[in-house]
Amino acid sequence: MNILEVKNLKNYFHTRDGIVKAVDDVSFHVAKGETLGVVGESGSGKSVTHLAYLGLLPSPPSKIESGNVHFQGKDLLHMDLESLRKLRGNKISMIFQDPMTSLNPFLSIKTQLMETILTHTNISEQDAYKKSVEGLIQVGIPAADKRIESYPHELSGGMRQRVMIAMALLNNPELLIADEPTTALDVTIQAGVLELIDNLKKQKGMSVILITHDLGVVAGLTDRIIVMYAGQIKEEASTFDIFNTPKHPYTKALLQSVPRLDTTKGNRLLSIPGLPPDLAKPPTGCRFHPRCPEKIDKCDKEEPQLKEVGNCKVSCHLY
Amino acid sequence: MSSIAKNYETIRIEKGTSLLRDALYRLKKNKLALFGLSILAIIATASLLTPIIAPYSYEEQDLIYGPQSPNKEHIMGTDDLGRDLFTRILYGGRISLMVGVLATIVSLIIGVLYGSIAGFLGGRTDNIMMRIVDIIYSLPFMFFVIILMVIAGRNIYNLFIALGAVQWLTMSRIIRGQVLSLKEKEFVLAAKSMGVSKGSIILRHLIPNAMGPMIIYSTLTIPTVILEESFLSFLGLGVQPPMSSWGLLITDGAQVMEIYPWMVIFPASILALTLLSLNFVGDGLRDALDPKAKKD
Repeated sequence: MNILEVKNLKNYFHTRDGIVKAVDDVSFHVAKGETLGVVGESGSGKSVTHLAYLGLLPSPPSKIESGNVHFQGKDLLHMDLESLRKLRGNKISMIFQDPMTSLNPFLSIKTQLMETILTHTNISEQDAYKKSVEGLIQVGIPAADKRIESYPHELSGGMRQRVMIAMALLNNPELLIADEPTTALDVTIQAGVLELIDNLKKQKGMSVILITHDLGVVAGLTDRIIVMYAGQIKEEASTFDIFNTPKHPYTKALLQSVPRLDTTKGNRLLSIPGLPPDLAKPPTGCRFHPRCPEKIDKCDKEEPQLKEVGNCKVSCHLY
Repeated sequence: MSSIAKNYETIRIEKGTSLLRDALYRLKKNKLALFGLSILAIIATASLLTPIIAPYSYEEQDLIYGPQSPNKEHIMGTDDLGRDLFTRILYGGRISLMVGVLATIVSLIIGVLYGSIAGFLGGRTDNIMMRIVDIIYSLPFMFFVIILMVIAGRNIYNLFIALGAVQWLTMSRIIRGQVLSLKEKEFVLAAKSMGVSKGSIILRHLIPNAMGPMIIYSTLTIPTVILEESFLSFLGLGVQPPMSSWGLLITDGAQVMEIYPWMVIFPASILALTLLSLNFVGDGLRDALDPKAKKD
């Protein structure tokens, strides 16, 4: 059963310099208990897609042009704002990139955790406090009953991200959206946080969307991966297929630009030439063609559609 | 993991220090601000205890000698109606400080709510709300206070409200500016993603973060309001004789400055001392609340 179904979602930003097509015809789904990885470089629309259907983008300038988003059968795009607000933090939770700025510096951890619970459930403050402490214990924060009194600046980055995770999981969400949860952390802590997310996911049986630009992060954790480029999905396949038989030239290039332990000494690390396109004036045809090493004639004329190739979906004229 | 956790539990963890507590710590190291605070404390206590410590009643006259220069019975002398000046300064201080504090609180409440709503909602709402502020700004505000006082009737409580109602404009602009930048911070997005309602975001997340400028501007509003009250009293709209305020005492004293200098020197020095102290405290608070300042 699919917990989240996104169909042909288009979200544009109406700016003074024109219409920025940040999310352009994106379709995907998340099954129950599944971990979906969303990969792409900065500005590929990987975060905006999810912020858009949760109603977290400022409007104007952002506007959902068309599409369908269903969460557990409920239409998110035509829901009134109040019901959508009640869904956020309750059934769907989010973790953000930078734990340094995602917590309010003026409020203690306790206040912020309890606020999340009391916003959605009608329980006494004492019960909310107990649940908050349990939440902190669950994410492995030592001396949780004392730490809960702390203010954000007294915690380290890894600790704060754990607090954020605890906060996101307090109301036992069905879907957790982790938006680059480890980008701001150093490598040793990254592994711990990812493992934590994975364990909690298995414990609670929830679905996870893991947004990242780090292929190493998604490799071990996800079941399926979506590769995004310039607001569009370029390839969708199981994690195994993405890493073993990448189809789209962009996916191949991404994989080659990651340093690996088994690269032969002396070989230079590949990088993708050029820059991601300006989404106010995207290139004609395939948006990747100016940087594509396998470009053919019709690439700059005709826009490729996402089509099934074997077990995968690819949007490329080569297939 | 769990064994490490157990070891940690034996370590005593100090109670969290909030930014406000840090600020207080820094304020304590600022001598000038401390000096200001103690002067203010003395003046505030004297005002509170006035009925007990005042040597005379504020309307009691000693007409035998006419206006007296400072002497044993009247340490600050008497005014031209033979009333003890020290007593009148004490009573006047109650009025002046009360006007200062209450009118500032009124302006704080209106300004903070108005400014934070405008800043948070943004867009057209913000535009309309701030243009209203601009229009009120362009009116001669004393004129505005006078109209309010005439409509609402001349009593001291209406004075608080009227003064507060014109002082909130700058406060709302300051808070709006703060909120505009704060609402783009990630913790606001995080709060939204947790389903926190708009009202809670404004009240619990945005306003506390704008506390610094709020407190500082308040300490600067108090002296302004005290001065405005004296101007209104001078026009006969504020405090009515025989009651007095510092502003009124100074106005009276200034008229006879050449013959009875003490009548202006004493109230003016007390007012100046208060305003100076308020400015020192405001200055100290500004430094103390600066989050970039280190805790040393």
